[in-house]
Amino acid sequence: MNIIISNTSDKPIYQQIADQIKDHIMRGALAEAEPLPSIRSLAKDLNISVITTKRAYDELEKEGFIVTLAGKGSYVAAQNKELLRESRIKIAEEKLFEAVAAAKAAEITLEELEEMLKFFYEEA
Amino acid sequence: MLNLILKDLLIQKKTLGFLGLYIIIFSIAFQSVGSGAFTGIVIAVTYQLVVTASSLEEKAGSDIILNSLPISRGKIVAAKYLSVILYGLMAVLGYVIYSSILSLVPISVSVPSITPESLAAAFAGIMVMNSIYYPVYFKTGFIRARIISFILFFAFFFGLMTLFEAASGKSSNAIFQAIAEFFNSVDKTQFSLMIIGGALLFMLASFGLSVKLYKGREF
Amino acid sequence: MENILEIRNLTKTFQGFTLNNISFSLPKGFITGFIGPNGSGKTTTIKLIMNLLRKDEGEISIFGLDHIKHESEVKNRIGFVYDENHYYEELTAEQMKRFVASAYNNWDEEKFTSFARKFGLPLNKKIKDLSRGMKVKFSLAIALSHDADLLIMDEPTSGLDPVIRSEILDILHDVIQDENKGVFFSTHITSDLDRIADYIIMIYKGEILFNKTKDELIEEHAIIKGPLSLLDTSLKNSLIGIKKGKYGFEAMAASREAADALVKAGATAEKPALEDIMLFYTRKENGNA
Repeated sequence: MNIIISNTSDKPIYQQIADQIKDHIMRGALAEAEPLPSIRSLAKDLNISVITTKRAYDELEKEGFIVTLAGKGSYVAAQNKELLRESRIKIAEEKLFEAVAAAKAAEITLEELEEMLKFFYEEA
Repeated sequence: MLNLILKDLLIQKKTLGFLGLYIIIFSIAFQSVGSGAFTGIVIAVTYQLVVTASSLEEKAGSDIILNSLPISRGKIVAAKYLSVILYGLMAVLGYVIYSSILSLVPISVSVPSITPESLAAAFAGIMVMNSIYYPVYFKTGFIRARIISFILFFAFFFGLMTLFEAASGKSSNAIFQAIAEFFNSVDKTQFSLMIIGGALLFMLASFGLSVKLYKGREF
Repeated sequence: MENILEIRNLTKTFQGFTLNNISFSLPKGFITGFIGPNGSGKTTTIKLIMNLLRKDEGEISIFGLDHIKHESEVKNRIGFVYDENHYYEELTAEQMKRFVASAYNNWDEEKFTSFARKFGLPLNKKIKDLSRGMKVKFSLAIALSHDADLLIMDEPTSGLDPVIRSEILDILHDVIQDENKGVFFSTHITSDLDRIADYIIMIYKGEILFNKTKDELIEEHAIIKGPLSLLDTSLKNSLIGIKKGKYGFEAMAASREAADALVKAGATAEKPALEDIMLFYTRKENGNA
């Protein structure tokens, strides 16, 4: 699992961590029931404060992405399949929208774009 | 406590090396004094070790460390008092070794022998001397106490040797004669024991005072 | 017992300086940075905690115990690293360690050996022949080898190169892997704390200016730069440490709302580092001499 923290970003560090873990969960890189590192070891590895990682985990727990068992640590929560699919669709839509915007900027036609999409869909 | 005393010996290892040299120099310089020379040597050696240990503590600023460790201030003070006795015993041992070596080699250096009186005077001397010095040391630190220690050393070193000279009865000085007469009239063993007992009591009172003063000290 | 250290209404007066009725507490499991310019009272506070100075008034309890009544027990559970070397220069590191070890109830020789190896401590060298960095590492190794629950450090990193400083910060992270332990870290080099500190207590002229989590502090403060004309409006009142220049001013806003209002009025806002916060709070422009 990669978590990259930028000090120059305007986004608070806890938010950066929460967002990236969320990403990993939604992409399936972190599977259901998989244990997450403890807040203390994550803080050490990222060289940040314990309170910051704790806040990131609190955020994730509040949104239902992880569960924390006292004395046992945090795990990826059982995800609502429907919800997960929805969020994944949303990601696909966002990326497609970006692709369309880029295509329009480069004056790529819809036909050409469809051709590309088909190629990537079959290749991937 | 033992570790505190041991530490004082370790930090002045270099000075301990010179101990033998001191004994030789002093015993040659004061061989005319008779058994008082032995008392003088014990006082000189003890003074040197106490002062060296004090100055090294000051140099390191070790009060900060010692008082940050779980060591009570009473123990820190007690170790200093006990080490005075230890230094005295070391001086005696050094003297005994030195004089036994000299008796084996054919050199015409006379080594005054240790008498019960000179032994009692030596220990009473170092006990009283340091019982005056330590309260000042624990109250103010070494920088300010060093002058006191220096004056004390001279007073006790020459004072006691003069007393021995007087007691020997060789001088025609009226006061010296009176002192000699006094010493001849008392039971020397009993008198020695009394002196040592008095010095011990004085040391105990001084210890109590030092603990009180050191507890009030800030670093 | 959630607080590892509690200080209430602590006062100490010297000629020319007063530590004035300060109170704060240290939760366990975290690193607390104690910041302030030199002469603010950091060392005085630490010396009072260690009972090296006698307090005039107030209470100090460590692990829930009065620091004087239970002095020996408390000190057995504290590891300390001071800014200056107070060990005996004539002793070797090994001899010094043996002496210190004898003072603690729960000395862990194995742990010390492993730290000594990790730090590359030349134990047979005399203390006076160790570099400044080695002396600090030696102190740290000692502080960490008796299972201390509270690590008190007074300017441990001053005068050290960045590599050693970063190593030391890593070790502090290791210490609080155990959530029952705490670190109290005093420094005027705040960059050491930018990443690892959980809480920041700032002391200035003998008074506590704030005591917050570092994240809160960074989030609610902003460096504001804007045209001088803004200073004629009521927005000026929300600014700290205003410094006027020829082409504009620079100051610090102490809340998000204030920063937002200022940005709307044409100023720019930047995320501050701890150092910025310390500097703006202690600027002469605040009326500080």
